[in-house]
Amino acid sequence: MAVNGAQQVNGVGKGEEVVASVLHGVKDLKIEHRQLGVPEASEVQVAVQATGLCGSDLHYFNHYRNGDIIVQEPLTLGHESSGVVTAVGSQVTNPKVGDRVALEVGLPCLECDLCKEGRYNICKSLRFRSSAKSFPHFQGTLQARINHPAVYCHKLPSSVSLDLGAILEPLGVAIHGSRRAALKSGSTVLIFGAGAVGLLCAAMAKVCGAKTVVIADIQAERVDFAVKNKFADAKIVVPMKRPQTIEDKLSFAKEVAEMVKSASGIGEVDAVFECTGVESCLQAAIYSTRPGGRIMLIGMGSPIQTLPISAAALREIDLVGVFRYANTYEEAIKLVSSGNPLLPDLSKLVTQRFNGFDGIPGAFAMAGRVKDDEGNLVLKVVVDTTNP
Amino acid sequence: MAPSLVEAINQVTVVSDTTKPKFQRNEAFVLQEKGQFHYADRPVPKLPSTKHVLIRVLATGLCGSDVHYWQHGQIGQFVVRQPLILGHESAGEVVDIGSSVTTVRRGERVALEPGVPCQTCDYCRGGRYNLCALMQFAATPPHDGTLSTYYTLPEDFCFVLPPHISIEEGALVEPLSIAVHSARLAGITTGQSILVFGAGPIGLLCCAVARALGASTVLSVDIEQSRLAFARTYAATATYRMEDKSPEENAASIMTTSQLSEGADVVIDATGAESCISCGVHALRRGGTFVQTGLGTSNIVFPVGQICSKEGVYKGSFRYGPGDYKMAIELLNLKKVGVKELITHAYEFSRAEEAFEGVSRRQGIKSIIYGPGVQNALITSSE
Repeated sequence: MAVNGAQQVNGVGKGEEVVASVLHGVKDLKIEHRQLGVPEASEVQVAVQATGLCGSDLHYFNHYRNGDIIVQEPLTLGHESSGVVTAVGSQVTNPKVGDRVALEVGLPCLECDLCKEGRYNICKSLRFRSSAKSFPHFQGTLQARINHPAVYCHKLPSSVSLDLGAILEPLGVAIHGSRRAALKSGSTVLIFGAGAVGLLCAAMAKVCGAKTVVIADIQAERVDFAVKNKFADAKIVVPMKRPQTIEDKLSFAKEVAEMVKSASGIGEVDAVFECTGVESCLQAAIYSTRPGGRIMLIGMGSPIQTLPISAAALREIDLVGVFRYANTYEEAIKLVSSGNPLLPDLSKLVTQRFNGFDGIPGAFAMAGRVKDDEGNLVLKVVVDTTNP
Repeated sequence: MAPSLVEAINQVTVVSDTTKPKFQRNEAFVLQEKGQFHYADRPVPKLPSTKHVLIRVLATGLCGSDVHYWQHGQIGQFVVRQPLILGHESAGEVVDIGSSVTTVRRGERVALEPGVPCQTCDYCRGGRYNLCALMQFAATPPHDGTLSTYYTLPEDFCFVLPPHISIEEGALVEPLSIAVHSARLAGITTGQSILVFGAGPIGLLCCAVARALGASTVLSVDIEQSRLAFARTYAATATYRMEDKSPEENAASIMTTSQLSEGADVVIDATGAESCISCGVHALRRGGTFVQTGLGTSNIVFPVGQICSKEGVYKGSFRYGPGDYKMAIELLNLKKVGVKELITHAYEFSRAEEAFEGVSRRQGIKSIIYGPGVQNALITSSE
């Protein structure tokens, strides 16, 4: 275990050393020890035990940046976490020491108009653990222990595992997306991208009473997994074509739309959850949607895309942005603990687990793969830091 | 050009004890449990957080609720069990700011949004902080109000007044925000017909906001002719005097005399009176929206059949929430709404009880009590 002498104060009072994974450059993760003080009056101290890895963590790992956001100082990654409360601040009555909690890691300002309207996910001053957007960077959750505001630590019922507790973060994205989609019962839904977020959106579409959920991906195994595990009802495997001219691109997009319409037999869909960020998928989404329908822009990929905009606008198809989540944890907890028959088994999304801080580099390597050495799909890699 | 209000305040002779330095005397007008008033010194409030500001209260309007606590000692479950400072419709000058404050500066004149929610419950986080169960609202027991020299608020509950708006008008931003909240709940849009019951300050402000939002017909209804005459000059396009007959008959008269044969798109009741509510429902258009702004008796006889057959929407309206104060300030800034006309009486702090008595006798429209040490006869506008 490599030890770096760097220290960072993360609270007041007597410091204790805790282990942390810190990114210093492209693919350059070091294990360090940080000073952690006692939690402030409204904070709790949480021993982080399960952390799922996300595309953004991978991006920082592989590029030391995420799009326009450049890492400016050593950064701990991880933001999809759950753990156990080990200490509470003087004003905290809930949660209590020993409680198992899911961590909501985005802290908004609570003062601006957006926060007051309930849209704190798009607060301009929001600080999000593991994101290099704000500076000094708000360090991520791949640490043995962190101090965090109590009101953003959501208590887990005993029936919900810590792995599932970590899944509540991406599930929040799916919940927030489904709210903004305003899916009616009996609607038809198309999902582009059968990774963790796409599968969770498919699950939410089912929970919202969709009549038919069609899922599309370039990987046959992923969409097979989706249908087999009741995340979706129908599947299409998108051909790996690479059209170059705009005419060819739009023609390909129309082809994909035709595949959707015939594969499921439902014609144009009511709503699309675009979870890839790939231009051809959004183009295909526009051709796949019925007039008056809605396309949820969840995937973050190419920031600039060429779109058949009149095909959307003239049919009043709304393109709706979705960014993270707000007010989703309580609903997510209720959902996964309520035995809802429409909800597929979300624990199946955790496909690989790595133990301890030494396992983190292996976890990152695995998270970038399509399949593991045994041929299993890689959907969500979880790092278990119960024993750091 | 008359001197600015703030300059004049700095020159004015303080009415009470001036030997103590600034920031050391916080005089308050206190209601006791048995309904008597007295003046008392209270500690100057400390800033509770680095995001709070300290305001010198310069003008406070009186509301029916303030008078009600005085005369009855309670409103619903809120009971005056210990001495309570009343007042919540205030404007003042920022005299000190916490170290994290960035949106207001010392010396700025601000309207006060006097209710601070918890910011962590589902209502707060979900965008409806006016429904927060832990709301700390000025002059609602046990929280003291603003009839004192100083008051503290978080910076985001202080709204800078446009330069052409006087401090007295600033005190009306609070009731104006109530009207804005109701109008937004009603979904008032251009070309609509709006029926407002009650031509007191809230009803009048609802008329003004409705006009500002583009309503083409704004009908003010009251039992008092003098109030209606004012409404006609202020913001109503037409008026109707409630007659001594049934609510249905009054509704029928409204619909014929005002050429609202289909009924009004929106009805706002600012009275809380059963007969007005009933009349309003009868005069509501099919598919229309009724907003209950006025608080009256808790249980009434209600023509629910009308609501059903018309598929009307009956909405409660409680205080104000996200964006309401901001819109109120903007309406004043753009001069789409004027509030100066509503200020009929102003009293120095030493005569606060007279103000309460006057309001209880329904004198004028809106009475203002100046803050301690602020004298009357200061100019009300730079215009």
